[in-house]
Amino acid sequence: MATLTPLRRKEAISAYLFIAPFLLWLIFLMGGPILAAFFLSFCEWDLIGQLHYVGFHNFNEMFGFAKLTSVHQIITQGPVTLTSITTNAGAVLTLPSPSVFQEPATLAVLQGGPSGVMIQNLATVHGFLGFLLKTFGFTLLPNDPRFWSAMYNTAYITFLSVPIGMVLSVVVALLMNQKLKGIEAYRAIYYLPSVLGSGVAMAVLWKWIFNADSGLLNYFLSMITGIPISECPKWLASEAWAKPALIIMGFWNVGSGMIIYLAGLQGIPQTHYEAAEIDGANLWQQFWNVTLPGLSPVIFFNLIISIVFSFQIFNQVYVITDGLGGPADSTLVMVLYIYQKAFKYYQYGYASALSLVLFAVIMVATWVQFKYSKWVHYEGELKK
Amino acid sequence: MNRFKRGGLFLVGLLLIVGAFGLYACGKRGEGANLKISSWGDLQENQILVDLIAEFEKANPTIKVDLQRIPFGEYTTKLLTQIAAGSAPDVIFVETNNFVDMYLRDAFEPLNPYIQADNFSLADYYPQVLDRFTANNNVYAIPRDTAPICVIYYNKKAFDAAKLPYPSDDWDWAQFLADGQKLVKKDATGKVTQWAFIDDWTMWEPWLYSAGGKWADDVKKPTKWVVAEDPGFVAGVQFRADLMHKYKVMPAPSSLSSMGGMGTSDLFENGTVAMFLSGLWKTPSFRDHIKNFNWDIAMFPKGPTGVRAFGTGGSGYGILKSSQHKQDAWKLIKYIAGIAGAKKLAQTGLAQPAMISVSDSPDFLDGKDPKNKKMVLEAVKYVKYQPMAKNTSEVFYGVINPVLDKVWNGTLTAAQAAEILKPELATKPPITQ
Amino acid sequence: MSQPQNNFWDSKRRQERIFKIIFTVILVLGAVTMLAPLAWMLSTSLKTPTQVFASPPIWIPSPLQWSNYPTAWSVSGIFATDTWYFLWIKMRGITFSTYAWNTLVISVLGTLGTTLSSALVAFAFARLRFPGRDTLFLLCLATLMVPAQVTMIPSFILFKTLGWYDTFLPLIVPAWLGGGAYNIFLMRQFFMTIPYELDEAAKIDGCSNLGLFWNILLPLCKPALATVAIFSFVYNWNDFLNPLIYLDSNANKTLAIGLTNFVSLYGQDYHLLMAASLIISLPIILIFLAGQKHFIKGIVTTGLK
Repeated sequence: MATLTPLRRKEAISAYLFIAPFLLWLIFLMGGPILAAFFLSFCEWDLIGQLHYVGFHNFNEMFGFAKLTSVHQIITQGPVTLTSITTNAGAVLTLPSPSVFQEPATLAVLQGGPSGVMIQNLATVHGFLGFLLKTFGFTLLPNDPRFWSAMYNTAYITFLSVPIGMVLSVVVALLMNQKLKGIEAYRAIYYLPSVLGSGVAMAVLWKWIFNADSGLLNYFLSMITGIPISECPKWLASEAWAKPALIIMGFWNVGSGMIIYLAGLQGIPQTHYEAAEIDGANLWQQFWNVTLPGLSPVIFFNLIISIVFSFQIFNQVYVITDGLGGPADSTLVMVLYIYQKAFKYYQYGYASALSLVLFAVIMVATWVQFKYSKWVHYEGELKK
Repeated sequence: MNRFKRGGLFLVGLLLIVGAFGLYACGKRGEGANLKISSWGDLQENQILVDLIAEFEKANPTIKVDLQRIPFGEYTTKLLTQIAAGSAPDVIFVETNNFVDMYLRDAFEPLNPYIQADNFSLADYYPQVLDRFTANNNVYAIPRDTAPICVIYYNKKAFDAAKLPYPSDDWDWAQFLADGQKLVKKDATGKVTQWAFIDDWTMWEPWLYSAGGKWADDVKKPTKWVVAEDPGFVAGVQFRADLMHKYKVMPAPSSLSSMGGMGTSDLFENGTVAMFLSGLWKTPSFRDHIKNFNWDIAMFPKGPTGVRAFGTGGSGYGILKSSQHKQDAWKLIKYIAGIAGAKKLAQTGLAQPAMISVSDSPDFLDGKDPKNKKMVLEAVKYVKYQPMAKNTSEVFYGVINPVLDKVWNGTLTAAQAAEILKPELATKPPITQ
Repeated sequence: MSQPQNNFWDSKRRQERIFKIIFTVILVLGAVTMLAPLAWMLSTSLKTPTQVFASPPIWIPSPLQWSNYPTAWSVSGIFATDTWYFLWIKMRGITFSTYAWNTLVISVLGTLGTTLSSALVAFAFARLRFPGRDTLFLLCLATLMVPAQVTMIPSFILFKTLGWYDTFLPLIVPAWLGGGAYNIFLMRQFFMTIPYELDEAAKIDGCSNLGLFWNILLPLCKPALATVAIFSFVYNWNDFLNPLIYLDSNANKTLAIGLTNFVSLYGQDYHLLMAASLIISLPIILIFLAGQKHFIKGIVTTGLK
């Protein structure tokens, strides 16, 4: 940052000329929309009418929650209608509206939240909030539970599909790099699924493949493992298996990672391998000491990009679930939620706020990866 | 040096080509049309509009119309983008639910002044349909079609094989269930080869309405969601869930790829399902594809208390407030949503026109399948609409449906779902301002 | 002495053969998995509507409905030819469809621009020193972290203000201005695998930066360039959202949008949809098959010449 030597200044000018296209794009085409999107997080806009500034309201809505404490537990024995509860302490709480329970149930009476009193059936609460209730006797009522679901779903998909996907792509690329007969045809075959895009046709295809009763996947699954088809996972129709189905779908795109790794493998000089063989290294040692370091810049690229893109997964989820987010919001990913808020529910400001939060998360994840990137081995790195 | 020259020439050549395309890309703008209308629809439906517009332009040589066709799935996305950027169309095609979203945000031009100035008669439109597009005594869109979601297509061959009389429009849930149970066929291994019933997508509203249930205290000016407290909700939702899990006459969601109704009508077409709930719009497809059996339609069965009610689709044309050519836009709407448009629509068999006289005419009741087509004219009397609130969509898709998904796959009962929904709905009251 | 050596060579060859067999088996299994969905697409494209969702599933419909392809071609309206520049091509005895032509123009121009400009920009990030380099690179990556769904509307307003609405410019110009952060990042990583001694040697010889870039580094990056080119072409070819938002008139539409002709509120013609999808994907498959030879040569040497 100090004054530049004439040589450095010449280099800097030359550099700015080289990146001029990018600078133009950043300043004139991309920068404005991104800043606008961030500014709009502090506003509410239904796209048709006026924009109003609302300060931190959107973020309040996103992150706020009410705490509910359990004050009483009731065990009902069959059909009952409750209109008010008498707690152990003798206090009488009137319910906002009568609650009808048909079967015997264990109910927790909760105090707090916007309605003052709430009844939760302990048989039907689940998830983290249910755990809190059953173990600690209180639970939280988030202002926007779908936000938390969306973050969870997105993280789930990312943390599973990225590592597995990367390993698969590298393995496939190594296989494809061999001088086997007809390898070109194989490369084309593995890349083919990525070429077909993810439009309606693919959605139909995948919905059919994951069909629990007559789809390809369960058919092969039961053939290989002997489990009858009716016991196989229900995939896209089941809350528990919808995300795994999406992750599995992602593996068909192993071809595009493969292409990048293949290109990277071309850049590793044969002389390195020869030197290693002379030194007596076996195949595994060659892989670990020559291939991996040589491939590391590309692996690093794929790692960062996979995480950045996986956090923003949208297209496949949208077409497979018709924009709904899967059975019971189980495949509601962040960008799908953003899309719904912006274009289905006319809350563009809130959608911008959501994307700002997503941006921050991705930025932090990326920064962490750059910080701990000493393992990446560049032949030609240029320090400042 | 040579290489540089070659490289340089190559670059110059490149720039020339790019420049040429750039200019041509720049110039590819539509001719100065002064009226813009947006619509969705497949090619057949679109052709109707294209023909109508051609006729309109001939009759009005000073007006040029530019039709913008947007796929239905992306309709609001693209439309809202255009509105936000100030390049909105003049006339838009809307349906009963996205109309409400846009009306409540003050997008539409009230049409009463135009109607009165022209003495345009609204008498021939189904009052129930027109009512949906009316608020505060002002009309905001002229209806084009109505689509009561009450049509039960049934496979005559299946009914014959089960020795059942064909359903009458007067039947009720009990009769429906009894028939359904007789229509299920299994093979030697116990696997079902013929189901009794399926709906086009997860259509639970007709069960809600015909059980006497309702969404909110008032449709036009809702102040409170009552659906979770309404016994009709529990009755209707539980009945549909029972069809799948208790009586097993309907495939559970796990048996289909149905998250949006893919392939459900195909199941009816290839005889795997004997009864199919949808709207009249399936008719052209069924006429084309079904060759192996005869079929007809019956009205959705009455509820246990004799109530007959169901939801409906339907669409119309409105003028956006931002339009600069409102008079011309009105002229266009009068034509395409008037008698000429209705007649064309009727002839394709694609949808039921919103005009009574055209619906009740040989143009629509053309004697082709389904023979009981007259039923839909009667059905319009019983249609129910979702409440007009800004957050109806969000409550429906974001709060209620995720919980109902658990009922459909058997995890929750309807009563439990109602309990879960109560506090959630209480925190999100209807927003009408 | 010959005996032990014979054993050694035998076992090595056997080891190699075993490896080859294992490789082939895995490759074939993987290929079958990759092809299965596509085989289904092909199979569905040759069915009649009632056969599409038959249970148990039909793999080979009989008779094969080859007529689905011409039907998809004509009924869809994808292949309408109703603009003036078609007459120009038609007169030369070639008919070509509007949508396909538009898609081709956008894809070719987009790919050219992306490949060239991303290499230029990435070169600077990888090989040159200048103030703000790392911050700018971070900003570059940051542009990847904001979903298009939110930037769409401000972008649209921007392009409309520039007068680029309903032209190809919003789709092509960004490709020439850096090609997007993904490609810049990719090229940068590839540039950084090339030893810096090359640069130093060139500079001692008096080579300018541009010369260094164009004559020395770029040829070494052919695989990377080919990768960027392929990805960019496929992306532009299949792009749905951008043409949907920025293009309006029928004469400007692309193939991806044309596919939606088969999807309506009332129902879908899956057999035709599959046929049309396969038709649309064919060019890319052919291009990939033809082009692979140029950038994947198995195991090659890179010289420090």
